[in-house]
Amino acid sequence: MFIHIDIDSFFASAERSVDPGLKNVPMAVGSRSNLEIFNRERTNIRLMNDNSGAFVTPVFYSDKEKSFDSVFIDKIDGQKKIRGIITTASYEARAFGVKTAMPIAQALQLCPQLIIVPSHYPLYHKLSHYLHRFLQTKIPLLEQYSIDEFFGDLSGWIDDRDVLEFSKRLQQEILENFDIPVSIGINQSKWIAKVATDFAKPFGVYEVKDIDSFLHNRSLKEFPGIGKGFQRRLEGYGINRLGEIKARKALFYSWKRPGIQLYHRITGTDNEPITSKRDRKSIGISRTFDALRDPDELRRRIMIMARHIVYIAISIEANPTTYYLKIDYEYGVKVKQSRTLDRLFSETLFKIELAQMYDIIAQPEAAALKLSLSVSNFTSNHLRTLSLLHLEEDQKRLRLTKDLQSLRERFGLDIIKSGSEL
Amino acid sequence: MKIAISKSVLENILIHAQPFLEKKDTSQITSHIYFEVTSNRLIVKSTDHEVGLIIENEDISVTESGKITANGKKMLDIVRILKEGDVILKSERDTIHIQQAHSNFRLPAFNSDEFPAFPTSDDKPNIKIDSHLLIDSLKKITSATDTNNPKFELNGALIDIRSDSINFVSTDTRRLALVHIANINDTELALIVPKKAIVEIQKLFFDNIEISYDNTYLIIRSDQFTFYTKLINGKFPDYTRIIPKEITHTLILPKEKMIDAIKQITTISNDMKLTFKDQKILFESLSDDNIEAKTEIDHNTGISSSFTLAVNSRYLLDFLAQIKGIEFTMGLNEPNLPFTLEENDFKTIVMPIVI
Repeated sequence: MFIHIDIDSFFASAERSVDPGLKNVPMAVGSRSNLEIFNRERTNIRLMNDNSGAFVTPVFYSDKEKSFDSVFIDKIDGQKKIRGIITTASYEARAFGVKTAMPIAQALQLCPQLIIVPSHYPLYHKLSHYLHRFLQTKIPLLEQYSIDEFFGDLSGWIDDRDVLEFSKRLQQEILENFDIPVSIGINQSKWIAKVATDFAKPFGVYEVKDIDSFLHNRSLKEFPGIGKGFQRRLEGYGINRLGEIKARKALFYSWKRPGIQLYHRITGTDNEPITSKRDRKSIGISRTFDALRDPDELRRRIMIMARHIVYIAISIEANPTTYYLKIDYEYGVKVKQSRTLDRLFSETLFKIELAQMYDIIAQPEAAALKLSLSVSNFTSNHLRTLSLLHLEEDQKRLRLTKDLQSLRERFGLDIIKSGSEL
Repeated sequence: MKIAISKSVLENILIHAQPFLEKKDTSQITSHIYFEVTSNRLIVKSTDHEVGLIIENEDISVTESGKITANGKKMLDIVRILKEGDVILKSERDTIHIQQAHSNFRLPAFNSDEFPAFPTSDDKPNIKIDSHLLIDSLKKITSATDTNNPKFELNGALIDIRSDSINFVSTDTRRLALVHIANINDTELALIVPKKAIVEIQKLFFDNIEISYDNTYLIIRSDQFTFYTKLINGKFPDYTRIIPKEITHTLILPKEKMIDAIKQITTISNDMKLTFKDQKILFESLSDDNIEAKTEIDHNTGISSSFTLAVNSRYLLDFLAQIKGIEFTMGLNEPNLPFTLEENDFKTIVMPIVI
């Protein structure tokens, strides 16, 4: 039997676990794009990488304390303006219509007494990590699926008839140990268990005994992997409920692998096991910011983000060979470029290539809103012979990058920067 | 122009001319072969502007001298289906007639005066080198030459002419092949010869050749053929830096045994792992799937601790296919650093797979 454990409104619950005054009142965690890394003065930035699995986006944090005003209020021409979005709302806040991704200003209109706490990603990562460790002592086959979700395979460990009881006890133990409410879904199939968790929320445990009757009247969007676009496509075929899918095997099979996989997941016949260790396949960072028309500043920010990517790559001993740069400009204009180089990865090489890529795709007249950088195609996943011609040069660059890494590990990521970042 | 020529001679000439033709765009004059008859001699030219070939033949009977062009591929198609015996080639205004007995084929011609001029070897310095040595050296490095590299200079082989030696070098960035021959030369010059030219040279020439060159062309002449190629304008990587200066482990290995073992593994994967132990060498496939090949040979390696490296087997097999002796030398430094394969004056430096 599989169970799926999901923390109820995780970031909000995490804040409540450290500040009980936030309990039983409408509250939410808000955040703004973390632009600290672009600061010119040193803020002692470090990488949160305890959860070194594939499921977490890397978090860079500084040692600066944050208050609501300093995070969410911008003063423009003497006018105060509230910025930022809701990341997670407590159930009390949700009753007022406050939702994830809603602008904070709008949330405050809906619920003026709403308490908004700036996000503390290091706290959430730490909690997630500790919870993972705790669950490992309770469940032999455990998969961390995201920062606040876990799959457990209990077959051969807990008798099927006792899983419900076991889950209720587990829910209680998590509450006692971490002061964190979780919901748990139970089924023979992973993905049905996950749907069951959403049904059980908040603070519930639900076992799906009969998949057909459980899915019968559920809407399509409740199933993981069915997004808006896919939902519309299914509706075009006259499918409006999850329960209607089982009879449409031929249709799903005509969509080849993804269709077949989804069909089996929905019918509970996927037989997918727990993946306790997932290899990271790429490293990416993106940042959204106020419209920026200065190409030199944009280039500087690319170089800063590059340093952070390099730091993660070196810390997980990856040698990526595909580099990707995307810039979102205003009016929905997006430009991107990627290149693959079979060479040793280093900060110097990455920055040289990024500078060239930027020169090719940059739109100097337009205002940029978002930067995304990523590296993928690690040599550990795809064996290949690297370039003989650049080896000597690349080895020198890698040695330098590693030397910088050890300084950054000790004194923070921004202890040393390259000239292109100033 | 009107001549009689034996079918087999003509067919042979046309076959030799084919690789030099422009094949895609038949509106180009370079898709045509150029024929010229003066006194008793037939001169045939074919070029795509990059490489060109002149074939001369006196084994013809001339009725009327002159010149004409014709689509090279069509012409070969026609001559191929004719019977043994003489063929008549006759120009008539803007067409060429190919006749034999009752058969008559007609092809359009282009203005033969517009056929591209060929470079001449007059006043160009010569390389004095034994033909066999030249062909053999080029053959050894051909497989390591890159194709379609955006850095054009890598799509050719370097002929590095020095006062006391000539080095033939090519690389596809993963490995580098080098043939070093002692040779006294008047001029020092580095030429980069396109891969296509290297391949064609090997097909055309055997012995008694004259080689001349300048900064733009390399010209090779024999009794029957004159071949030219444009050179690649670029700077070839400094190969001397890539050759390891020191070698930690030097192994003398048996060629046939190594080939057999490597080929067994390549049925499963091209990438393989080699482990050198004191008394044996292990070969293992490197593949993602749940599929495996393993073999080993007994050999006294002299490596007391075990040494493992991963490599694309093609680089090993390409080298082994070019050596004549029963043994070769392998030079190892560190598993992640380039290693060398060597037989006499022929050396290949190979980058291993980093695992």
